[in-house]
Amino acid sequence: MKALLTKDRPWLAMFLTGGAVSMIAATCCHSFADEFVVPRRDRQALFHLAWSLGLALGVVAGCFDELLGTREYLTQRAVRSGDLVRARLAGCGLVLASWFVLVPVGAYSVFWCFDPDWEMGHWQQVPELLGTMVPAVSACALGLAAAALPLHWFGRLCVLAVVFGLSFSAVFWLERERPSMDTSWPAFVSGHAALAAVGVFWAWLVRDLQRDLDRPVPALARRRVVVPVLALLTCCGCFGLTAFAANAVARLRNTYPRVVEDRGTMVLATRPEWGQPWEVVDAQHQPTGQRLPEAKQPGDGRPGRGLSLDFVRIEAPRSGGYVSAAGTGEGRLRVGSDGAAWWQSYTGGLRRLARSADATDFAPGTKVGVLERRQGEPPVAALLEPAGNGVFLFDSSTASFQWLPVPEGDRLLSFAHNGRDNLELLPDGSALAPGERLLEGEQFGYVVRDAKLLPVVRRKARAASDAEASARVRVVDADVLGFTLVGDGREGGPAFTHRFEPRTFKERSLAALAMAFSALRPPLLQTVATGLPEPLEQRAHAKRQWLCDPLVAGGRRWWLVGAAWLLAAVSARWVRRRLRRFGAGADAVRFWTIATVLLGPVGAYACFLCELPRRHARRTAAPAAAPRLFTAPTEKESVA
Amino acid sequence: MSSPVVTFAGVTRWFGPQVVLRGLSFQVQPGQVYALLGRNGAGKTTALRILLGFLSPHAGRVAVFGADSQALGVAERARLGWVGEEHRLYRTMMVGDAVAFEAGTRPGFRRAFAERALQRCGLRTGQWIARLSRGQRAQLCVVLAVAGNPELLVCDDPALGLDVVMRRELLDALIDLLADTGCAVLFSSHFLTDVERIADRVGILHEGTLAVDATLDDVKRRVLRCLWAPRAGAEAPTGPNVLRAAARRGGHELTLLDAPQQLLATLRATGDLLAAAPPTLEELFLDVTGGQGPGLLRDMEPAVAGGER
Repeated sequence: MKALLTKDRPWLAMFLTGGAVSMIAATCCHSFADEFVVPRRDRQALFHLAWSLGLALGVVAGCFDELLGTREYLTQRAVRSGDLVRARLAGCGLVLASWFVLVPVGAYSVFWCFDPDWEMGHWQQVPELLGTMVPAVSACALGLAAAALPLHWFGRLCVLAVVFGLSFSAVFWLERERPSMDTSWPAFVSGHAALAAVGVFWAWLVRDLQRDLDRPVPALARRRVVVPVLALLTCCGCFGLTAFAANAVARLRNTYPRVVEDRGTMVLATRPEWGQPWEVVDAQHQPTGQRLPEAKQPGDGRPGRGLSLDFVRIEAPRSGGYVSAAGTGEGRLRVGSDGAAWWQSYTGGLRRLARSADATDFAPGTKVGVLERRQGEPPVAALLEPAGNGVFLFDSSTASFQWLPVPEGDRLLSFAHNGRDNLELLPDGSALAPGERLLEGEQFGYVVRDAKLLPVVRRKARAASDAEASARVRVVDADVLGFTLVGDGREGGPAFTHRFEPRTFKERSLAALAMAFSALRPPLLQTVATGLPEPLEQRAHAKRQWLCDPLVAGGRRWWLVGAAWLLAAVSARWVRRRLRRFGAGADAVRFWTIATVLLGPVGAYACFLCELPRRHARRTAAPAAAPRLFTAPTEKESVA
Repeated sequence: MSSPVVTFAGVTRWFGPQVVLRGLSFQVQPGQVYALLGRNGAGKTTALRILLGFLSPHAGRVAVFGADSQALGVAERARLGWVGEEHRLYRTMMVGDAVAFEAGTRPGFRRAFAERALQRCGLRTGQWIARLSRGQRAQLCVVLAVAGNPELLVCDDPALGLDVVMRRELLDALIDLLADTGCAVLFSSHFLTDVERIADRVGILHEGTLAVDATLDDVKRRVLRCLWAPRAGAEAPTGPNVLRAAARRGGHELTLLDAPQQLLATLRATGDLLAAAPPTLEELFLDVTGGQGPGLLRDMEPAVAGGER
């Protein structure tokens, strides 16, 4: 083991020092307060650096001898292949463990040397700092496993990209707690630990497999490599086909005409360019030539996006941290998710602020905002405590708060933007002075004048108007490719109903394209999808749209499922004939035929990538003649 | 008879549409120095790579110490040394590190022996491998392989790319290091004078199979090379004993195998038989692999006394 680690010294040293230095730098690009006192909600730089370095570490550890051209020199040692894997794992473990020690210690030391706000303590952020680096471990294991695959380097990179994207996204969806989308640290850590375990196990399984372009995939490799690769290709194929279909559906939806309202009457119309008058189309979506310069859209008139691909996400874990901060000209006032408020003076010094003289913290959910920002004067900051329905004006000269009473009967919600369209000026209210900002309550919007909250605007009943608008134009019987839109007439106008479905050549072409992508999907999954409830427009189901086709969900378009099976049967026939032409054995032919029947063209593509002609099986070389000049071994020679 | 250390039994290997080895069969006995010869692309390196388990054969089997080369365990690899044609070593190491690496990955490695041998070759432990010349790297490879105390040393053209002096030094080092060790050596080479110096037995690989698999003594004893100037009307001899008959000015250059006295008498009777002598290895190699030699060889019936297989 020691000898094997000796040969790995170059990459050990490179990743140990380079990785630690770059991660310390990523941590120290913020202030001590940002990292250890009231940290940001996530550490994006550290997270992305950690997984990318981990991935590179795994790939380099797995391919080091290949890069140096010493693979065969290493293979002919009197060392078990398992020992080689163990040595690589030990090297990676050493580097990763060093990172987990050096990064927090190094960052803390750098802040000690250079940050005036540094003070002893504040260890409570270290676990989250380390937790953010955990993806380095799982990415390293995945890199190691991908590098060990007996594939061409490009194939290995492709497999790695797919595995990495899908597995990290899966962990992302598992670790986020709804609806806050904050990270559940146990789920995050255990998810990445499970990924690491899978990666290591895979690297162990394929340790003895060799890449030989002139040999067919052996049965062992077919079990250990091809089956997982096939599963990945299926996922990747489904994702790609969903992406193409989503693109076609989005273009189809954009091609459909809109419902516009002209003098109380709803009609179908299109607008070639933004700002041009609407052009009326008939029920078959053909232009009539009539123009409506005054027409307006009563609502969007279209259901959602049709298909969602919002599932591949690789994001830093998010939790705690400060929820908001505001500069006052002399420093920054910030408050954490736990309600702890901190004053960071630009002249140096970091102070924890209490809510009042009894030194209690603010309630969780307290926000920081600016109430007044005038030219040449420092901004006036305040804390809004929705739980206690209180506002605390901050005095930066004394670093203390002044509580402001909220008018009875109202409840403060947030700091508001002045231009929000759900607010309207009170009839008797004075206009907002330049630089004044609003505090939005349930009933009124307030400004702070003479240390008092003064109502100046009123909230419009926006919810009611939204409901009215949505009630006037509503979608019924929605499908990916079509939907029925019902509009209620206003001012005595007639009711409007139209079924949107492909009617013009362009619409039909786009729909056909989307359905063609659907037919290419694995028929097994298509069959499963028909039994599922229709997932369209439901965000809760968006995550499975890539796997279970919404075009056939709920039993719609059963003939698309039939087409998928037919295509799979044709593909399987092609695969079978190709493998027989290659001289493949019965086992291989059976395996790929079944895989192609179940997975369709994806399985056929995998077979195309994996299986090679067995020239040696088909062509028989001319029999070798015995040596013309031969000396039989003698007893004397054999004991020499 | 003790069992052979290496047995190639009907090994066939394809690379794409081309067959490189075609039923290759031979054996290397313990303590024997076996030279595998052949032209570029003849399949020497492929054969050795199959032996070492780096490649698998499409047909046939290679046994090393009785074990299948595709499943060599630690015990078999510990008895096996290898010097590749490119003299691959970790260029990021120093010579001393390479010795330590070998010692850590070969149970029987003789460290003191290696250090003495390095000293003899003028190599210092503090030298970076990346800064060694090609010849020095080749010497280091040989020293490391031999110090592992192998029972079989496989050398794939170890002198490739070395000048005459370095090649001679490398061979001397090899001969010295292996003296009295009882180690079998299977090596491929293009330098036939070197082969003649150290080999006990040669195999000439041509068109994927062995055309010659014999001891050097047998080559000298059984093969005769002569110039024959026929008299008017006499034709060049053919038959199982004529390995090659190449037309030369005023006659033919004949290479005869196990030539019977009757054939020699006939040649003398029908022409002038000049300069009859055993061929050098290089001449035999050229006869077997160059010109029309292989065609003649291939067409002839295999019937050699004591060599029927």
